[in-house]
Amino acid sequence: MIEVARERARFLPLLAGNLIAVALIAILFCAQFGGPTPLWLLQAPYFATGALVAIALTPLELLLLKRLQRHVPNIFIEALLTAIASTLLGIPGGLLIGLIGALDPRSFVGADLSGLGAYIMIGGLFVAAAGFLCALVGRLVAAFLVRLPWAPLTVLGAAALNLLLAVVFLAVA
Amino acid sequence: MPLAASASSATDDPIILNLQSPADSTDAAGKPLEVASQSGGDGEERFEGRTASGIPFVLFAQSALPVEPSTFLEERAADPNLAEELSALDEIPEEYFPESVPGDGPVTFSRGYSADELAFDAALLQPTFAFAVTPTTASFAWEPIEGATSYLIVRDGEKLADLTASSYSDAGLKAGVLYEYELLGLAADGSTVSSRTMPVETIAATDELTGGGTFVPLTYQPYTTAFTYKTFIADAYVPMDGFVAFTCGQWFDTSRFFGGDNRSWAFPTFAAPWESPHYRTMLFVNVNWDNPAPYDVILEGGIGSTKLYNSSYGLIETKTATFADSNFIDTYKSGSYAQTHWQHSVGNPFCVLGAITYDITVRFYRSGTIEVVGDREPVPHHEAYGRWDNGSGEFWNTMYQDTNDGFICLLGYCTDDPIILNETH
Repeated sequence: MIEVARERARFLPLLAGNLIAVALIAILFCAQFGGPTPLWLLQAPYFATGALVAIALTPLELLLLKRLQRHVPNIFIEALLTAIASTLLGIPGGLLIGLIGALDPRSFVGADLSGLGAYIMIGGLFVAAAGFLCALVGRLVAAFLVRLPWAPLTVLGAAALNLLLAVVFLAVA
Repeated sequence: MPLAASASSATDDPIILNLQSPADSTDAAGKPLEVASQSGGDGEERFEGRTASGIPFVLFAQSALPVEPSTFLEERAADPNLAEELSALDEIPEEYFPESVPGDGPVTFSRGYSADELAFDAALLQPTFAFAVTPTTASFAWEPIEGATSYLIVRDGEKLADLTASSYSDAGLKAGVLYEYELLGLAADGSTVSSRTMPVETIAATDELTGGGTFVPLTYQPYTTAFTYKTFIADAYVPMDGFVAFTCGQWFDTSRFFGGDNRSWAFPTFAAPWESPHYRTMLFVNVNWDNPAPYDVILEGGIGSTKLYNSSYGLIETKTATFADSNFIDTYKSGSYAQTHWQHSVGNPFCVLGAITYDITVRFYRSGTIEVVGDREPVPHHEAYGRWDNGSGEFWNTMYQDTNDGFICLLGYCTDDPIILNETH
């Protein structure tokens, strides 16, 4: 039976765990596309988008985890509760996507704002699902990374390379 | 002895139709009809004879398999007495998933059904419509239409009645004259939820009704009847916003476009109705009434390729979706009735969300009726055409044309448009 040590959550391992989760989501998401761009390149900007959000929100997640650790019995429940809390990101996420959709003249949202609800709802669900997966996987992965002092920095290095790849994507596109 | 119409009076009373048991229809006084002959078969029957007062009549009764026979069969399965009946039906392949391969051109499939694959249990048929004519009257009765709260009856463009009952009789007609009737089902808000269009000819004094007589109130389809349903994007190019770009593998690059079909409504061609013009999706069915070899029913399907363009309209890549999310089920045929059920859902092969979606059952009657029952997501443009034979040649006629309510509807966000059409030629 695998036992996961219940280390106290720390910023770098948690960020590294979240970035690994973001990378997995980006790769799985991009694998659904049939476009001409190869997967190794296409995933980079998608990863970059998620990584920026993860970097911005990991401190908040850490704060939440520290409070949770006093009250929940094990890391799985802790990760699950954090993941559930992360689905709340779907609300601002959906509203932001809706706002961008309403302002974009190319958007399928009508001049009378018909269809705006679809953007908010589907965008919100997408963000909520991504937030849930990222928080759940990220916290569990962080529990392993915390035992390997070199691992978080290695992940962050790989993430930095992937961000550079995103810049290459933008230059090529 | 032939039944000449000469005995008719100038002011007949209409036939009172019994939809559930057409042979038990009566005259206006409630007296049974004297049926001299009965013809047709499973799905459509024709009765002719005289009323008790000697007025000649011709009566047509149509029935159909339920829209969702599979559900219907499950209900019937609870009845152990029907086990034998159902075992025969179980042998019919209900689903067919054509194989297709993504590529640069349209993905197409073709499948023929032989008679043994199309057989069905006539006991499952349910009455849907009946009409009768005498020299000066026409009577109609129909199953209530889902979503309709009233019915509008129109004859030759003139509104005759707005009623809640599902039957109507028109009197005072002229003998031997062809009238065009429309029966519209109206929702509570006044919108049209169903339409039935049919030419009805009253019996003329010279008509001989039996023994291969001359009177045919509807056309008789001598060889084939066909139907095609296409969807297309009228625009040449479809822009994408950030949300669409993100979910279609373009990250936030909103400078790109998807290609449309760049056309308006277009009749099918006679030579190859399943081919051009451009389309997103196409389905075609041909019912072979008289010369079934090698197939009684042929289905043709196609999915147009999707093109991705850059900001200067240069082609980046072409991809084609498949029939993987579509079902072609419940295809049956008898001597006078045929049907097929299409559940068509085709997404943009570049995107993870959204699909062109419609679900229709198409019914064919030998007398020249094509009926379409189902619904669609209101995106993009949808068009349907039927092909009839009036004895002097085949002709296509428009059955359905509905526009694109917005690409946002690809996400399944919009209310489905009901499609309940019935046209006779």
